[in-house]
Amino acid sequence: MMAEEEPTEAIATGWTNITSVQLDGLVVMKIIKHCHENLPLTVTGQLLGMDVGENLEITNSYSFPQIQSSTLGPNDADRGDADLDHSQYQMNMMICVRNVNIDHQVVGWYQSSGSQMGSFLTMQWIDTQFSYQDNLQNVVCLVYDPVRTESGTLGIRAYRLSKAFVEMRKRREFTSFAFSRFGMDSSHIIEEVPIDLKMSTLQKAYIADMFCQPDLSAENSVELSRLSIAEESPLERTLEFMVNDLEVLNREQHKYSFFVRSNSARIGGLYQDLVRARRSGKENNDENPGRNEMDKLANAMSVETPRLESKMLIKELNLYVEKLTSLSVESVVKENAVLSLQMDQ
Amino acid sequence: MTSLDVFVAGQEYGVKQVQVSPMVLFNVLDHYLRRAAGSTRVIGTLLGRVTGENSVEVVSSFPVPHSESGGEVGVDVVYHKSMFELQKSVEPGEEVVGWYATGDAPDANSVLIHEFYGQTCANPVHLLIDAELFTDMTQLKCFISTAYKIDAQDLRSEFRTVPVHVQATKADKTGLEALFRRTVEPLPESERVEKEVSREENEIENLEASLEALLELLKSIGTQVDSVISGETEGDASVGRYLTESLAGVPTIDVELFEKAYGDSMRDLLMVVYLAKLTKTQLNIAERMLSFDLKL
Repeated sequence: MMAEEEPTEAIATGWTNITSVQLDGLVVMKIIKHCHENLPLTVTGQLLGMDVGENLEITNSYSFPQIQSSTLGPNDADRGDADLDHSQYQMNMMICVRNVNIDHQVVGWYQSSGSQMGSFLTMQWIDTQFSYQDNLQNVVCLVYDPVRTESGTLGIRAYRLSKAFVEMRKRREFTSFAFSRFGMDSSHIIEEVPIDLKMSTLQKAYIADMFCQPDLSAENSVELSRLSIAEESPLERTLEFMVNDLEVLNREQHKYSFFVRSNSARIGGLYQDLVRARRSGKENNDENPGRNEMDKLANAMSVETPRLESKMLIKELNLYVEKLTSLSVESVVKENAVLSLQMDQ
Repeated sequence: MTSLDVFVAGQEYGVKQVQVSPMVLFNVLDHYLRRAAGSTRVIGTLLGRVTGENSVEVVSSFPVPHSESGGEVGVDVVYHKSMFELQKSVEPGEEVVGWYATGDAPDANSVLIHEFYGQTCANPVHLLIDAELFTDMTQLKCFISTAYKIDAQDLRSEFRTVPVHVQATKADKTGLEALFRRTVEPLPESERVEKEVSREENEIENLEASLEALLELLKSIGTQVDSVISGETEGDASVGRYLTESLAGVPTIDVELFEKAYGDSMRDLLMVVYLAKLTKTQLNIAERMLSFDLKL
């Protein structure tokens, strides 16, 4: 709502217009290679390409060096040094990339979810993505799930922060009231952008040829290896992560209800004022009823500890639920296939 | 006595096999498509490891600008060095193992470039990828330079081919398969709009495809066996033996035991599905509890 009123801001004019991501086969293979060589560490890298109309083309990428947390001292000077090294690395890489005609527009970054079963939503992720979206217009983050890929389904998804959330992040208001005020809930913090895979004709020729080789056809084909039932399913570990998250969420909920209870007298009064103002505003056809009361309430609520973490947890848990359902349904299908095989005998 | 054999030196030379990661292949092809105007081939550095005694594993690569005119060839050494430094900070374990070029066969300039790479690593390998499809088919060749020697005296050296094959890890294969499926059956324009969001990879759909592929295979085996039984085609003993072995491989489990195991794990799975649903409801409640109702 704010954004539309202030088109001068870069964010408001720019990044809403991409609706899909076109991912080059080369980038897929590069990310897979980088992530799997560094498992179980989480790795990150830069995405290069360009935005063409509503489509974001990602045509190349390069990996970021691992920042060793052990070399990072407690003081800011060390961290500053590491940051400096990092930006020096990026700059040198960009010069190199430009020299060989690779697209040198930064279109985002990628991150592997390491061994955390596909979870990526952390404060750090949000901060990084925010700074990308704040500085550049059309950027996405590709999140790569090595566990899913290992079991036979390519797990790459493109995410970005929603426009409304960027506005919230700019104001750094994360109270429960602010969330309601911006009409945000956990499912609208980030949004997914659909991905389309693309390859050049030359790549297609080579890939088609590769699938005629014994390494990738017949009994070695991915299609059949996916049917394997011997492997340990990631189901159990996903459950573990989910239970942990639920516990944290539970604690946060308790804190919140405690906060509401201890502030109920003050906030309750303000809330009633707001309701009254709105009602009378409606009768008088006021454009924006209860604006003053709303601001007062926002002020009163500003002592509240940020609720962003809870919201992120809810989002993450929803992703886990989605994953669990998919994993268990997959197992049910496999079980039934085994059943029919045994029953025939 | 052995010194009479001029090829011995080549045998000693080391590299006997080269494995290339599919990513390198893609990188080279992309580089070729992005070559500078007017140039006919591209070259670049191969990074990887020497594994075991005689095998080289190429896991990564980067392009290097170069120029060729007549008998002269210039490789951008500064670029090569700085790019290698950058790569090194990401993957400290990767060393220069050779170089790649696109084309059909090595030429006189290749020898000069090979000499340059000979200064950076001990036994450089030269990977030649046919990006122009000269022969109407994809082609991957690998060369090492071997020296003809008589006693200790070098006579000349030549490029000798070594076997090369594309080595894909399990995750690579998954990626390639997803890409391959787009190659053979690109989504039709109408479906594209409908499947807007569900376009990404989906476990269940993949599983369905796998089961269909399995059924297809079984069907073709079935028809083959039928035709052998009816005498239409002659049976192949080795195929027959293989089939018998596979059938014998299906374990016979006591029906009761199997049913129990099946029931148990099925109950577990249904429990998980139920739990997931319950969690989802719980999350909805949690969300509500954290919000102010401003819709008055």
